[in-house]
Amino acid sequence: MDCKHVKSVLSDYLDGVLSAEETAWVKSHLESCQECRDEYEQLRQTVQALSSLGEVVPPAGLRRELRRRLEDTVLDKLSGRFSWKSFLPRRWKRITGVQLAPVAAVLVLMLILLPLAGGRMAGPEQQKEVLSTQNSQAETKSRSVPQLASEEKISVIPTSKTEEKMLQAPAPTGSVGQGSNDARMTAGAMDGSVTEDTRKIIKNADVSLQVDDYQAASEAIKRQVEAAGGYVTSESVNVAGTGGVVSGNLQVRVPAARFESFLAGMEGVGKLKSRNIYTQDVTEEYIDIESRLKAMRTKEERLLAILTKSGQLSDVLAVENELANTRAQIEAMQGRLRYLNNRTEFSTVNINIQQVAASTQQISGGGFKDVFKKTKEAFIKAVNNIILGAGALLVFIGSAIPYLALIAVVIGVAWWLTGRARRGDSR
Amino acid sequence: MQREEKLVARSKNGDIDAFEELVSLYERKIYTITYRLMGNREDASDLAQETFLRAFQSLGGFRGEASFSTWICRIATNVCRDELRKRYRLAADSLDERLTLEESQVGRQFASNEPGPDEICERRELQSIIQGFINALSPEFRLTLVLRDILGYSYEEIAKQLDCSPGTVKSRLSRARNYLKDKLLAEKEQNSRHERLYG
Repeated sequence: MDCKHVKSVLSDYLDGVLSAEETAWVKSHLESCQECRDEYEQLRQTVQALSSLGEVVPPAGLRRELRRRLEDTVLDKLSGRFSWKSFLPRRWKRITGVQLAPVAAVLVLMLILLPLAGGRMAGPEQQKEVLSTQNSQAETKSRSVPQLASEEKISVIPTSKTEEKMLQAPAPTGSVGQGSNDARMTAGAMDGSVTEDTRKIIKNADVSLQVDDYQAASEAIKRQVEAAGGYVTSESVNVAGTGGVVSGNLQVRVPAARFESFLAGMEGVGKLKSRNIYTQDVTEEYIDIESRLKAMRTKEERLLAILTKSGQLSDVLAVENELANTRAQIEAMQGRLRYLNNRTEFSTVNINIQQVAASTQQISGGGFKDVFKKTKEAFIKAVNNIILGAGALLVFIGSAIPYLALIAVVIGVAWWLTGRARRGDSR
Repeated sequence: MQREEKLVARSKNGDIDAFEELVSLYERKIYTITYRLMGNREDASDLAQETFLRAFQSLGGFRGEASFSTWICRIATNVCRDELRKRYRLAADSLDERLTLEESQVGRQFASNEPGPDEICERRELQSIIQGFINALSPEFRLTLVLRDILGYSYEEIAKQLDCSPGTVKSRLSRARNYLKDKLLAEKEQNSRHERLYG
């Protein structure tokens, strides 16, 4: 056995765990080898030094702190509270309720605030929806053209069938002005592309107004009609309901040139509930009748000429007959022209006026119902909002979990690293 | 011991005072174990408390097959073993390969390389010198050496505790002891040179 091998097993030899054979080998080698003997001695002394290391005195505070922690454990056990903290790594135990309280507070706040935010978001969206349906209705709906006696097609240039229906009571504030703007725009379009002289256009409007006082509104409208140089064709009033809801219908004619301004003036009288403007372009018919009238007249003249020339009775009778026919047709056409002229020169406006009973006059029998209904609605809305909010919170939490996990990982790594550094430094 | 058995029985029922008496009996021993293994006072305190707390909580499972002393020392060494392994798991190499922590990247970062300020006055004493060398050992070697040469465990017990074969225990022990021996020799030489120079 050589020294190298002996040295490698000296530790085992010292502990006496070598086989009998190997032990003998080493023993005999040691007797003869000084170097290995020294080595062995040093090893033995080292081990002896280790085993003679005395007990270490613990610091004074150890028992005190241990006692406190023992008591905490027992208290938890007694009160039935399971100390989940005992399962956490040591560093986490220092997290107290004080530190967790802000986290809990934040969660509670979110639970309260999100429903409100959710509710508020729903509101404007609803309104937007309403507005968009309004606009689409305006575009798609078109009034059918009143059929005329002639089968002329009414030409298109601005056959504007602008229709604006607005919701009652809490209407979005911008839309009333919007409506009148549109009307004015289309009317302006009509004016811009065609002059009144060259085209024959019949303008009509149906207007529905809501007023506080029927009498005052009606008088105001009549004044405006007169100021515009028009006249009232008919008026009817209807008093219905125990609440004294007064409604009436006023049909007026105003000069075509004053049509738009008159309509605009009506808005000052009461709240506009609806307005419907429709026009007919009768130019084609007009021109056609004019030309036929001219032809008829020519025919009449020729007949007269024939009458003076011929002498025979049968001829005279035939011509007279034909002349009568022709004259009748001329009359009819002239009548039609007059009618068209009148219609185009004067626009017709049908005004429907509704007087809304003043709320002060009514006893709040209906008021109570309203309050109750509103309370119920508000309650339902609030419950819906809370449900929405809870849903939103869940979605938010779900979407936040990946981020939180990532942050937790980063913080954990950082803490662990600094914890190691701290330990390194403190020594 | 009769007295100890009574204390254990009372502690099992949740008697803190009885357990505290047990603590006072074993405080030094446990603290020595944790100190020798962890190498600094702070960790030793922490883990000593941890040991007693765990003992108190798992008293229900202690049926007196082994002596209370063996049982609680086993808890102490387990606690230290787990903590050491956990801390130095950073190093990519297995815990086995490096004898000393200086050789691994891990060595630079942890506390127990040098004794603390309160031990500096003892610096020249053999005990703290040796402890410093022990602290330089990586966990598995440190555990093996302390369990064998300071706490006197058998090879089989150590193998069981560290979950390795007795052969591994032998080889680790041999390497650790030789390391200490070399270090001590070097220290002695330095001292004697010092004395020679400065009398």
